[in-house]
Amino acid sequence: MTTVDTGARRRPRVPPFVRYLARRLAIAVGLLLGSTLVGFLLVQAVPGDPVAANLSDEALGDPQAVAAFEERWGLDEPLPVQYLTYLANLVQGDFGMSQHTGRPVLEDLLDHVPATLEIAVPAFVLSVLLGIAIGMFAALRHGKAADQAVRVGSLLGLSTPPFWMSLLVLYLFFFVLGLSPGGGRLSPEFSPPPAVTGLYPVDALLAGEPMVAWDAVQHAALPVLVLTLITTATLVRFVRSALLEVLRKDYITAAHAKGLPARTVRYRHLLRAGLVQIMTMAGLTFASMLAGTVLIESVFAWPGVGNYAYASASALDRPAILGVTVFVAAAYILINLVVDLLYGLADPRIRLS
Amino acid sequence: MSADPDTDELLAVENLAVRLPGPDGPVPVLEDVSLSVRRGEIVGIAGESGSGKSMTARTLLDLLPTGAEVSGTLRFDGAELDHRDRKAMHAVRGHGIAMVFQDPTAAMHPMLSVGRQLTEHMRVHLGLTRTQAKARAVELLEQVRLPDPEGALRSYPHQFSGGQLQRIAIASALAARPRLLIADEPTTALDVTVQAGILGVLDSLRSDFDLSVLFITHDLGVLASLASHTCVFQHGRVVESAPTADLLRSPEHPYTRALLAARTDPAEVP
Repeated sequence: MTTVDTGARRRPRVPPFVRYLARRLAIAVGLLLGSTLVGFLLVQAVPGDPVAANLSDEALGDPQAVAAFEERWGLDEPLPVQYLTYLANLVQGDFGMSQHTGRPVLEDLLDHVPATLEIAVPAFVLSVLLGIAIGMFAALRHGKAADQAVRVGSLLGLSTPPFWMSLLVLYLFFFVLGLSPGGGRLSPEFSPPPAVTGLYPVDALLAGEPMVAWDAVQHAALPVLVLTLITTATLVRFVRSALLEVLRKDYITAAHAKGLPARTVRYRHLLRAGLVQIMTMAGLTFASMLAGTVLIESVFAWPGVGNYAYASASALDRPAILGVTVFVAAAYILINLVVDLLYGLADPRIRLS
Repeated sequence: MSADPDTDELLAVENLAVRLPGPDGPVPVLEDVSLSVRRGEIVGIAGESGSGKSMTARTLLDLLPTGAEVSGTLRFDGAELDHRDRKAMHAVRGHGIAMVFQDPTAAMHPMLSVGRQLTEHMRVHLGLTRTQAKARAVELLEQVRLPDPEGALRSYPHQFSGGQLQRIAIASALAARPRLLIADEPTTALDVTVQAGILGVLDSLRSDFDLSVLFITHDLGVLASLASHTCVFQHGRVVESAPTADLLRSPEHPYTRALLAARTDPAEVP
């Protein structure tokens, strides 16, 4: 606090909310920078020799080939120089070249991120809606049979390993019921639509190919289902306990005492107060979805961020690993920034002071 | 029986008993409670915490925890009020009986504007338009002597002090024109200097609007100049019920005497 407002209705020159956001933004930039450094150092600390991982046995026997490889990837420079070079390139949008795909890491990311978004966004929207609806349903019936059922159900969802659930779902809908076309993003008879957004259903519709769009949606359905089930299980528990906490507050009793309809109390008072906490959790959940759910993606042969990260790690492909790390860090930081912004909009105590 | 079948009677509670579910079966929290409030009268309920004061208030507004067992008769505004009929009980909330809570900072929703919290139930109960409700809210805030009512409507609870918030809470309780106001320790969480102001507001509202008040407190002394009649609660029962002046002058029950002895007069505190 720099000034003391003595009733003279003078507004501070910078509104508190702008100051709050500016501070969050500065922290976000610092975090992003820090995450590149940590990512860079961790990649260095990974045991294993990138030269050995990427060159054939024949080439490894040739000192010239090894030296050429080291020079090409800057492995002969001192570490601080390597980091600064990486950072300078990163700022210009250059993530380096992937050693295992031989393509720029940025291009790889631009291929894999939309695939992850294609399942993460629908699963996120569905699980937030379901999580709030079911969590609220349980909280309002605290201790009753319905509440217990929800708790057991969400515990089951949480404790089922994702790959196992993926396999079960694939077995049921693909092998037994024959409702799903199986793994991958598209059936082999279709070729990917021209990339605009990178999301196949959207791009196919833009290209005027509804059959391709429908096929893409069918392919996405099962991974979305699994991701939704798992995420909903987490969110239900969280929403339930957040709302139970709010239900104990005097202002909820006061709202009932005022004679407001139960619906009004439920949506305007209860949910509004729980929303800040729910948003935090939802944001973290979405970020973890973007990090790619390796186990789900590998069962469904889904070429998303998780699969790319897995392939890069197996190949000890440092630029690619680092690229994924920076992307995931940026996603977390950006989502947290959005959550902070929403906090301010939802809670006047943050917005005004 | 304390409840006179007086035409002036607004609220009569007879033989009220409440049992709450406990780990080893129902636990009685109220037993054989009878009291009555006349129009324009302030009745005090005194007793230590856990004596059943607040339970009585919550029973009247059907705010008891689920599983509570209630028996006895309630009469409000000339009609029998069936505590098993939730619809009828809820119809009384806000419009017939309103409540002011102990801690105003906890009883106001932190994320909703004061204007919204003052007008939302007005619009439900009185069918007012947004503009009419706003005008009435300003009027109410003037009656509880809150400075700058217009500005207050646009503000949020965290921007006010405890005393100001309690005035706002009183205005909010009165918004839907209730006939009975239950004030559950409305000054306990406030500074002694602020207390007097709140008590003054309540008393002037009583005389201006013929409002009845059920004033719950652990402090018998507060009731001296405020309540015409006082009921003393202990262990969920009414142990003494008498005109306040008589009760203070010659307390009959040993518990009333103990309460009086335990009291510290704010005027005596240096």
